[in-house]
Amino acid sequence: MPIDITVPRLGWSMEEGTFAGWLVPSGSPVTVGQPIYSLESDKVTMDVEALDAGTLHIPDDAPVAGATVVVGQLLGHLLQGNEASPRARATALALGIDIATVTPREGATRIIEADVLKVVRPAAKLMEEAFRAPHFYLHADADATALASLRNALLPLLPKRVSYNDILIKAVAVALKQHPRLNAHWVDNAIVQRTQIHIGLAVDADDRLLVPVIRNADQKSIADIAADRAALVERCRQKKATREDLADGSVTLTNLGTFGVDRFQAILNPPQSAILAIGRIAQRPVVVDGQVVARLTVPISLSVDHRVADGLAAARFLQAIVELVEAPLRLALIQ
Amino acid sequence: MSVSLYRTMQLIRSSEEQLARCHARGLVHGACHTYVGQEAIATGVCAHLNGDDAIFSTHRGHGHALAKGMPPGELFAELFGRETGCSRGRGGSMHLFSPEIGMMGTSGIVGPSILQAAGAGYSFSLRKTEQVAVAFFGDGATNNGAFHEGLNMAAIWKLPVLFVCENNQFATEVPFSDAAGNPDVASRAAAYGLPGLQLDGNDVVAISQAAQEAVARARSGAGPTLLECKTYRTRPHSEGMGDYTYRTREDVAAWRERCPIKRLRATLLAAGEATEAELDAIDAEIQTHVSQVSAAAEQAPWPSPGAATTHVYSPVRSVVEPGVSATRELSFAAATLEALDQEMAANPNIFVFGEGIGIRGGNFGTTVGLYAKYGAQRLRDTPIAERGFVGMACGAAMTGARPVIDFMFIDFINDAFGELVNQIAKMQYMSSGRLKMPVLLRGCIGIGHAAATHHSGSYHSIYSHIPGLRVVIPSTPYDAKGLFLHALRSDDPVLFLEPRELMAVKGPVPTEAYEIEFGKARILREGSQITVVGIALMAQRALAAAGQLATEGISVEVIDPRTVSPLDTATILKSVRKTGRLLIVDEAFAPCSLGAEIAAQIADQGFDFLDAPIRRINGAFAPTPYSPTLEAAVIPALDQIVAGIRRLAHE
Ligand SMILES: Cc1ncc(C[n+]2csc(CCOP(=O)(O)OP(=O)(O)O)c2C)c(N)n1
Ligand SMILES: [Mg+2]
Repeated sequence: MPIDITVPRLGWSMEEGTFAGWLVPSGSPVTVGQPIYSLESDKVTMDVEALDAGTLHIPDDAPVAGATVVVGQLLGHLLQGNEASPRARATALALGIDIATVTPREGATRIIEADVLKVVRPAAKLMEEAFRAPHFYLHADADATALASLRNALLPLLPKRVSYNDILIKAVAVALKQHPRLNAHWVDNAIVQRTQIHIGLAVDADDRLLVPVIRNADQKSIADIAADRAALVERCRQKKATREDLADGSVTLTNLGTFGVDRFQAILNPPQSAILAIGRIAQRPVVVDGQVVARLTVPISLSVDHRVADGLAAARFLQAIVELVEAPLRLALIQ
Repeated sequence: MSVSLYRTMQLIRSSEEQLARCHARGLVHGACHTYVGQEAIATGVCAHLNGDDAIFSTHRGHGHALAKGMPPGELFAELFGRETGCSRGRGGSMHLFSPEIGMMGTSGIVGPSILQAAGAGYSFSLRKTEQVAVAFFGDGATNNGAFHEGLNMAAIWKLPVLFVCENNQFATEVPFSDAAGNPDVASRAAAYGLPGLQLDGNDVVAISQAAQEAVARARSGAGPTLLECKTYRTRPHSEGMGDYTYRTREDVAAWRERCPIKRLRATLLAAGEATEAELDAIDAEIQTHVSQVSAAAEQAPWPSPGAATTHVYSPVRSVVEPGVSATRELSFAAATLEALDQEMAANPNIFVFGEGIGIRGGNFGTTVGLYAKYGAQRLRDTPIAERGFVGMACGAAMTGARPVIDFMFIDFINDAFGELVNQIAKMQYMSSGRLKMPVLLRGCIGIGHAAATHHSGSYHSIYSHIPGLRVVIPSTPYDAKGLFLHALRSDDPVLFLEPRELMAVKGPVPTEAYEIEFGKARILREGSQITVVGIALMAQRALAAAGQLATEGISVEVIDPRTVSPLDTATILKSVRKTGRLLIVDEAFAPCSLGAEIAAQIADQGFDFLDAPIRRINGAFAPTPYSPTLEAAVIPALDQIVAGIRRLAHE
């Protein structure tokens, strides 16, 4: 239940006063003791502190600054984290979202299912959107010899067990920094350019597909990425993923190689405009200097929303990834 | 002949004395009202009845059951609460049913036997079967309205009924002389225009003679007779109760001396019809028999707990409804009239009771034209005696007729509350489904036309609380015809409630006879954001509100349950699963109502579907006032419903 904020009595004789305005905007988190509004009585003006924590909700009909208010009058509410409809809770549980991280839409006092779905839209809806996006696909096989050696070299050095995905995430993040055209979303029929680089990783959590996001992956070391990734995957499996954990990815990486899939094409994760599908890392015959030899390779395919990027921009982006994967030492050096 | 009367009286006496012993031993779990001292009455009357003649009795009914031919083992087993009891252990001493032998039932409520016997008489005379109905009742019942209403109607329509008052001079511990302005019961018959005879209730020969004449009179079509039999019960009102606070030991001892069995014994011996030895042999034989059946009943199986809730209703009959594709338009009232006409033509056992439903054709035209087609007996204008004719409908339905009661305004049904709730609703259950209860009770509901408080009630919530009743409220002519016809073919009692403000509204109605099953809601409009359940006029008002809100982009699903009992919660639940929001609109009062029931069920089964609290809009919790401005203030208005939906949709 929301906690009511009512006009207090400032001194013995006060029956009414003048509301002097809010000190924090509606929707902000409030801690105990934080001044949240000012109130004038005939004797004093006082910044009134919150008695409880919560999210401040100022109703539309709340008194405005300068209004006369009487002792006990309702000014606003402090929403409690658990103020969610039964339906919202049930949906959040099913999707593996921590309801505490979902906020109600503007002006509302209760989290409803739609607020939860804003965090993770259901797969069916997403797919429909994805299929409306005009896609194209690019494929490349990268030599993974150096990638494997790097991973083997890092394994004993780092506290968290490094996966190929951690290095690939770093590669995609660095390539994206070099090719910002792909770091853009298609929203409401327009390209929205993004500045930060957050890489999503498709994770299987109890038969539910979730895409937790490694934030600012371009600025993180492989070790940090490995630590972030491990924590995120754990939260997803525990059904404790937060809104923050799942929101706002730039592009997504999905790897079915460990399930024995040689190569595949992935569906976009709207509003993102690119997704990388990683196949099985394996010895494959390749031609080197006119000779067929066995080499460790990794198949990479890139799906792109043509409204955001054309074939050439996409090809350059994929080429940059391949180069980074084939000479990954740079990734270990760049912070 | 007289020896067989002796045998019957002795069987009753021995059984009662054995039951008294069993009660003292704890074998009888509830009440045990014995008939000791009054045996001559049941014996003398039932001696002239055929197997298919019907008797209706009271809390003191063991003797009536035995005299009508119930094997004593069934009586004992019933009082012991066993499966083999005449009521399968559902009734005990006060609720004995054996319709197969014309023992139509005893009632723990004082009075209804009089009305039910009158109703059975109506059924027999309608169906021209030459059967006779008998009401047994105590002196206490003669001060009850059922006596007045039942005797009056039986007299007007010359019904084949015997009203047998067993005046044992006390109602529990209240002397009849203290409770009656005119303690001469037989003389009261004159007030209703039927013959009344006062008899010595302990003289079986006198009773037998009088009963013979009264039965013959009834069978000949000459009408009912009241027999007042003066007697005395020589055991306490009920086994285990104290006896000497309201009467003296001397009085009781004196009446024991006037024992009807002793008296017949002396008569038989004096007339040479039997010898001492023969009568002693009968006594011994009966004593042995009673001991044996009592011992056997002690060993009889208990009813299975799984059977505790069977036969509340008749088996459901599934029907396929045609759908609203017809082009011909009829008003709501005309649609039910068409159904009634079609079914009366097909089924001669249907008759209508009501005030002004004969030549006049009903206050709302519900029977227009039918009197000319089917005559006075099937379209019967009644005295203003709602309790009486509802009680009669019960007896008529127990004996093969299908009564339709037209109340005009359903407010009047409350005068018959006891007959409906204690008798009609419970009859199928108490008889383990051996009796059917096809009674259709109809009347208009709802606020409007400045009808004020006694012509505007909506009582569906009250009656939906009662197991055994069906409660139906259509909101369109199409639904009205199909549900009405289904009610006319149902074996359950049905309250058919007609929203007054919708009775003149026209809509498409198929011409053929079709049925709509109870317990199937109708989705009046599909929508995705909020579910609104509306009943009666409010179903149509919710539909109008949904139309308005569509222009604001709010998508409302409107459901009309059509029947309140049974209630189709599955359809509502499915809708809420889709929309996440539920509003219930009903002009009836909110506390303990249909809305409360739906809210509870959906909260229970659909909690995880809800994105907002379940909300209700109800009429004000006040009687209906007269003045238009006051009247409008107590019923949910269209803009109030629109605002309520809008608010909840955004909550
Ligand atoms: C309507 C109703 N009111 C009260 C009672 C409680 N009650 C049970 S038996 C009885 C006395 C009935 O007296 P009477 O009709 O003379 O029958 P008797 O017991 O003398 O055979 C009463 C008041 C009841 N069963 N039904
Ligand atoms: Mg009495």
